[in-house]
Amino acid sequence: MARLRIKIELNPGGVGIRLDKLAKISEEVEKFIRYLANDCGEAISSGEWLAKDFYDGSFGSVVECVRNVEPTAARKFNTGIRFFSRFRNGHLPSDYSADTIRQFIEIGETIDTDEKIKLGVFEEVELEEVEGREPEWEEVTKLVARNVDAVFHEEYHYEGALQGKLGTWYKDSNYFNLRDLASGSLIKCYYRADLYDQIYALYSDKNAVVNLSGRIVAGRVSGQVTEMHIAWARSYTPLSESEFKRLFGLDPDLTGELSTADYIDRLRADGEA
Amino acid sequence: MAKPKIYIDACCIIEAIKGRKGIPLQHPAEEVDMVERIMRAANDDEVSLYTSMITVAEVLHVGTKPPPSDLKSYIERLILSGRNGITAIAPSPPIVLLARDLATDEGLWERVADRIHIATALHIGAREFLSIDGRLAKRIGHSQVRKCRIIWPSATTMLPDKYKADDLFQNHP
Repeated sequence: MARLRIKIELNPGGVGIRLDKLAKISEEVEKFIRYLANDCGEAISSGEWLAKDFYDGSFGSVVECVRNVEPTAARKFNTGIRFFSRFRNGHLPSDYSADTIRQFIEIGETIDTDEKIKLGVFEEVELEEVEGREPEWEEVTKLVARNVDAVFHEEYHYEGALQGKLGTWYKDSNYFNLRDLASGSLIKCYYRADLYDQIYALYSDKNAVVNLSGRIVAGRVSGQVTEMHIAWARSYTPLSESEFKRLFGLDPDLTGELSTADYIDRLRADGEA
Repeated sequence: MAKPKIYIDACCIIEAIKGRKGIPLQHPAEEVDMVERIMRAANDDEVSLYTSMITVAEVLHVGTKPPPSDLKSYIERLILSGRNGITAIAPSPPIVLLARDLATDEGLWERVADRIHIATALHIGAREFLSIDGRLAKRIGHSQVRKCRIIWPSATTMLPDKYKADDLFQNHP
């Protein structure tokens, strides 16, 4: 088994640290390492991190999870600390949740541009190896948090499609809210004035599910769609109960002489068929 | 409580439309029967079925006999109405990026369309991917990709018990 364990130093070389700042940084760092541990497959509760072995630094201590974890999780955790501390630009991998990334950005909000939080990473994670070892030091600065922030909030713009239920319509502002069926999110959907009659017709059925196509704005990292600029809109009448029943066996000759498996094989063969 | 999320591949919908009548079945009848039951449960809002929007383009008539005149309309309405238990998911950047990464991270190099379907299932958080022919799992050499199991319809663990009863369709004349 292994331990999740880091060292933390605040305001190194300075004279003490403001108590309110110590409290704020501790709170944000605790959340960050908890979310990071969760990304590594270890669900840690907020009360399970213990600060101990304090030393003058001007503030320094060991922070350790009170229970054992799998060695693979501990190694991934250390990789995460290093990854975020060293981030300059590029890709934020899906290994790290949006919560973890946001929380790292929050840490940056707690310090000034000339300040840093030193995080000591213990290379050895096995229990018997931890005691008495010195860590490798990483530094979290406002700049590195801003680097993460810039990538995290970068937007994608693409032509895409959505399927969802109609929400509140803001006629004066030429948009309505769509409850996306896939994500459950509420998305602002803007339309051109010449599409007004079409949108009006969609709203005639209060239960309508509409299919929209157009330019989408989405978060690069989260993939969360924030708005759509509609080019095409349509709703389809659902199959009635009798139509739904008739669907099964509607076309026995659908794939002709081919079995369904052979048909799908042929359809999806890359560069073949 | 959130409804279970199940991904349904185009092959299942094709088998459902072919049904148990006409040409000899290529697959055990109970699998086709199970697809019907799962789709029925979804239509009753008991489970959530998802499929890629490209399924609409994959379910088409290639047989020699003339198709029913309303076939295309039925398929469009089934998948795009959003009110017959199936939610259609359009390929988006997160999905195509995931489809790309499935090749490098999971070794699923062959067949982009398979990867798009699997990536769509993973993206929406489906725990089961229904594939009626078993070839998908054989082709990719996996019966599970990340947290999603690729299974025959009869292997689903998410169908409510009432849809397993023999007299299921008595309640749906």
